[in-house]
Amino acid sequence: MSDSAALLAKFKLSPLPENVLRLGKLVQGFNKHSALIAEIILSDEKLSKRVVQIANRGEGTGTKEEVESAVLRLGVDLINMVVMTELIVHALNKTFTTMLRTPLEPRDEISVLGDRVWGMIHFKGSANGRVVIGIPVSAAEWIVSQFLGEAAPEDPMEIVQDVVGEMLNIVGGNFKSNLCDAGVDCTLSVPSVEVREFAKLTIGDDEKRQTLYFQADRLMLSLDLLINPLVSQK
Amino acid sequence: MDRKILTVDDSKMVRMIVEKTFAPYNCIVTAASDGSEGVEAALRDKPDIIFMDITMPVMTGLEALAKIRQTPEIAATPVVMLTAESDAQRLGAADELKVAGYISKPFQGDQLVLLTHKLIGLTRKK
Repeated sequence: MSDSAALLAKFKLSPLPENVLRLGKLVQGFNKHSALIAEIILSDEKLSKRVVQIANRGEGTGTKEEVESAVLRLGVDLINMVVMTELIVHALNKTFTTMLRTPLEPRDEISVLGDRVWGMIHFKGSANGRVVIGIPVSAAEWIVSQFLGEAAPEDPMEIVQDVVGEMLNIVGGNFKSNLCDAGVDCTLSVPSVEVREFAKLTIGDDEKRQTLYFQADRLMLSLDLLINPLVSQK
Repeated sequence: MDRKILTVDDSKMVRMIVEKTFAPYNCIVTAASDGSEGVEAALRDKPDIIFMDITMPVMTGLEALAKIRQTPEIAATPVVMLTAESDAQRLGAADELKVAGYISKPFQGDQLVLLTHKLIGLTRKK
C-alpha cells in the first residue's frame, strides 16, 4: 500500500475514482501514453461519451474508434480539461450530497433572474486556472437555512457570502487534493465572493473554459472551470 | 461535566455548524477564526478537544497545531483536522504532528459527534 493510500485508510478518508487518478498521472506523459489514455477513457462509458462529444461538438457515442481519434486529435490540453472537469464535478457533487444531502443533476442551462452570489478561487502551480460558482441569492439563502435551521443570522448577506465562499473552498480544496494525488501539484487562493447580476470574468487568449449547470430541488448553480495550457511537469 | 470544544475556522458557517452540532450535548463550544487566535483560545480555555481547519489567514492550522504541540500546558490536547484539503502531503504533515483525527470537508455533524465521543466522551443534555 502506498503512503497516500495508508494515510487515507488510517483517517478513514475515501480516495478518488481510480480511472481519473490514472488519467491525471498519464496526462503528464501524453505522447508516450496516448493509447493507454484512450484505454482508460474507454473504461468509463460516461467519460468516453464526454470526450468524444467535446471533440466533435456534441456528436458521437463514445465508441473505441471515436475515443482514440479524439485523444490523438485533441491532445493533452483538452484531455487535461476533461480530467479537471471530472475532478471538479466529483468535488462539487460530494460537497452538496454530503453537506446538504442534495444530489445535483446536470442541466443544459438554467434560467436565473436577478443577482447571484459569485465565488471565484484560483489554482496555481503545475496546473493553473480558476473555478467560478454562481448561485442565485434565493438559492444561497436556502443553503444557509439548510445549514443553520431556524436561527436567523444577524447579517443575512454576510453569512450568505460566507457560506458560498466556504462551499467553494471545500469544492476547491477537494479538487486541489485530487489534483495533488494525481501528481499535479498546485496551490489554492482564498476565495473571493461578490453579489452581482453577471460574473465579472475576463478570459485570457490561451484560457479554455467549460461551463456546467446543475439543479437540485430549489437550488440551481453554474460552475465555470477556466484552465490555462498545462505546464510541463518535472 | 461539560466538555470544552474549540473550533478554529475562518468560515463563520463552519463555526456555526460546529456550535449547532454540539448544542444537544453537555458541552461548551468556543470559536476562533484563525490559527493564532486558536492557540490563544486553547491556552486560555484549555479545551478538551480542538477542531482545526488548515487553510486560514494569519496562521495556518498546521502551524497552529505545531505551536500547540510545543506548548506544554496544551501539548496533549486532542486536535482533529477539519479541512477540505486531504492530499497525501497534508495528511502526512498532520500525522507527524500527532493529530487525533482527520475529517475531510464536506462533512456531516454526526462525524464530529462520533469522533468526539470516541476521544473524550459526550453526554446528551436532559
